[in-house]
Amino acid sequence: MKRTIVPFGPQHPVLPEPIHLDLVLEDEKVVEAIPSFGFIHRGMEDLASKRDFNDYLYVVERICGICSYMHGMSYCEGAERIFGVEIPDRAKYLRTIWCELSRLHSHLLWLGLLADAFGFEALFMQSWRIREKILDMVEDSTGGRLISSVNLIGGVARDMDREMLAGFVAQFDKMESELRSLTKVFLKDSTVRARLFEVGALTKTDAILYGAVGPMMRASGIELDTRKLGYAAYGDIDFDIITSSGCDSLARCEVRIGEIFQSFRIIRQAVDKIPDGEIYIPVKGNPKGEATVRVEQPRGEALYYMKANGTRNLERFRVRTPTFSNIYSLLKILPGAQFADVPLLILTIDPCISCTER
Amino acid sequence: MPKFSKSPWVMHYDGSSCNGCDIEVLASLTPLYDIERFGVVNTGDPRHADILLITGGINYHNESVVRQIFEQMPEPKVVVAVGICACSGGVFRDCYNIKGGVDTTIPVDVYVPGCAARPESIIDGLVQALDVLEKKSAASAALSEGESNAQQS
Amino acid sequence: MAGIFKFTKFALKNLFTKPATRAYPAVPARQAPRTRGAVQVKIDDCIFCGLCNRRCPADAISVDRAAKSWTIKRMSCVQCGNCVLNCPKKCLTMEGAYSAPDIEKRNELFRKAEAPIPAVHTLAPAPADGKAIAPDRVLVIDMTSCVLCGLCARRCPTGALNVDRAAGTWTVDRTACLQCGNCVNGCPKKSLALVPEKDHPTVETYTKNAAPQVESVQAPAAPITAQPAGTEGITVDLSTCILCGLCVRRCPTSAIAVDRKAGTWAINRQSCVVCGNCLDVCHKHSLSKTTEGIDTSGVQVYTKTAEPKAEPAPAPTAPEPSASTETTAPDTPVGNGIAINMDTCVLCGLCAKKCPTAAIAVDRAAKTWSIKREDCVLCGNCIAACPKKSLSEDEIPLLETYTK
Repeated sequence: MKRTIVPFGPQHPVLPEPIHLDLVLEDEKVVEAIPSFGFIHRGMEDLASKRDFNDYLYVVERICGICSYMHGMSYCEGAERIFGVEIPDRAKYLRTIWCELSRLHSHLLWLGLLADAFGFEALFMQSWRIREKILDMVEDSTGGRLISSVNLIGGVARDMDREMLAGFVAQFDKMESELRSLTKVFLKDSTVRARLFEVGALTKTDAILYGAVGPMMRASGIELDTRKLGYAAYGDIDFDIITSSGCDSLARCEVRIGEIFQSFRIIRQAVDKIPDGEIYIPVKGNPKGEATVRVEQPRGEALYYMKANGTRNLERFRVRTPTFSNIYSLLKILPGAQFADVPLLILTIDPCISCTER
Repeated sequence: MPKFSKSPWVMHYDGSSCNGCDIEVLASLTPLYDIERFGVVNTGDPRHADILLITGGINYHNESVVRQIFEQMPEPKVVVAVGICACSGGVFRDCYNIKGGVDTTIPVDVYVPGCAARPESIIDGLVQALDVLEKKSAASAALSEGESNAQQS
Repeated sequence: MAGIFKFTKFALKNLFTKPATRAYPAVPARQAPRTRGAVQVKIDDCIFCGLCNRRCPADAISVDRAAKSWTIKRMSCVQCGNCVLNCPKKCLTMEGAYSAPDIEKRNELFRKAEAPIPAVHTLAPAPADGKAIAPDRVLVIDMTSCVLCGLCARRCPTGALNVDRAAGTWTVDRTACLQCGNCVNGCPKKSLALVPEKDHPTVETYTKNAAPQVESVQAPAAPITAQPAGTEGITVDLSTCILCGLCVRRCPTSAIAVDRKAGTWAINRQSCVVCGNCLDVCHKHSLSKTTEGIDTSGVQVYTKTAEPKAEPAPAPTAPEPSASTETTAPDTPVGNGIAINMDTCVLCGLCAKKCPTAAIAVDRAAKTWSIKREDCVLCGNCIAACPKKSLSEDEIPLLETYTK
């Protein structure tokens, strides 16, 4: 059978990010996918040696615009571990609330892009319309829609008082009922199911072998969630780990939808339990030491390693983002897929190439 | 004489952006901000596009890609640099892999500031780009008329 | 159950609900109170220290100390807010409106009004070693007019100046000097200047040619320079003055002396630099600057003719009804004094902190408020400071301790 090589990317209408795949096709079936990344590589880890560690926070936030909040929070958490300070409890709860708002907006974004990828543009518009309400909440509390700039080493810079939090929770009921009808379309509509069911299957053994993280791994039946480690205020909050045994794209859709509703539950609990008190303690001096932080980004587990040597610049700041681990799973599920499903499969791992390449 | 500003077709490309500005460009197409009410269509093909929305700075890997896309667009065309990284390199301008803003590779007509640039700012930038597009279209029409007059005589 | 047309309900609802679109630009852009838009500067408060330049992650801000200008590249600012957080004078704010899109990259320059426009305008980058020397301006002093009051040393934000009155010297450490100009603006004798001179050492000491002065608190000092007649000087209106002594404490040259027992207010005109600190601090507005009746040769003494108001009245009036539980001794004098309402008092201690004579003491554990009546000068600082408005000046039995 003759083979054709089709170059996919870096400019293509379906994904907002530039990646390049050389797809080796036999007729319409993908036989092999050869990746070529590096279009978003900026060189941020080298920048750590040129910037004061306090100012580097603003660079870390801009690793990725979608996962921006958790990058900034993890950097502050790592620095706080190096300094050995414990931030006030109210700051921990505020960080948890913002983390979950970030997760909500990211999952709704993904649902919209997925719908766009299989051609259902009306679903894309509806998901993003609901997402705008979350962004309004983030802007009201932090000042920016995507890049929040609200974390500081030692706590948070802005407070959310009782009226603001009650205002947010009051909007949740309406949003949840709208989302229930919307997600029913994703999970139950037969045209959507025809595009998602048994497409891009990743067995449980393969998921462990290829190191999948996040919803990719949880949709293959592995029950692990880094939030259960108890960073920020997650130790005091009760939530379920959503898994599915489907192993295909539909299962990943189910898992992310389940996580949306869990996020609403977590925010409601955090708003009930948030204590009064300070939100920031000043931290002086230069850091010296190492720290490792693991957080649950919307896309999976992210690992941050920071090393400081007593000067104002960090010596090392290394991030291992979830998409980096999930790319191997992507390259496993692409062979054997139809050519028309390729954008869908790339989206099913929820790629965030700018996090990966920094 | 076609009036480009009545229905410009937009193409979006991300060159080393963090995705913030790209998401805001996509958010401009969604119901809340909806640039489609101005007649704007988001296309994926550079040969169909009038306006190029570029986000992110230029690095050594995507320099040739950006130039190729620019050359594939037919005249008259307008380039809008969305976001601070596209205008000047932003917080990354000291990085070893970043050359600078988009104007290091292709000529930029409108700069839209913001990190991430708000959809309202993008709409403002688009409206300014439409003015520039009209001027360019009028200039090229006058040029081609002059040529055809010269040919006839 | 999988089925078809699951989206129909949504689509039909869409037909009959109002549009979700924000019709920008017909309606204005959404702005939350906390929205981070463009950075603005109050250029009159700016001291051109350059901290915002060093802290900016995108290098959007440039500060030119010589030309007294502050420039921001609008197309480089990422609205992070780091400059606003770190400005020592709090002259930077974040406005809600974003910078507008433009066809070219413009910079916005703000210049202080009184600064002369230099012939060549340069935007110098911040020095990499963090030291703050603009190579073309140095701080110098004219020791003939300097009176060694020390106001410049007090106003210096980096502690670069040292004034030794006993030795008669003034020293500057030019490596610490930011050329902010605080000392130049604050010198009452206009002896300081920032000049474009070269070849000055990094640490320089200037000495006064006249004989060194010995610092004394209350005794008159020997004349430093003879001031011509018709000079401006400080005078006091003793009908309103309560001899609290705040002006004594605020005088940088210790030129004022107050004797409460004798009822006199004295000023050493040779030491007085007419800086006006005493005018600023006097609660009773008894002090003023004038050119009449000023004898600049030495010390001028003003004496109170009327009885001082702090004397208690000889006979007590009808006993005041009081809600708090204080024991009224039979021979407690009644007179004009500071009265407290212990029901509203929260024992915060602010009155004790503000009392210039340390007459008030607050014991939170024992829930008592006590005042030493002979030290209280009725200046009214405590009344002004009390957040619960519990204090007032009244004709009362002059007790010393009150308990809640």
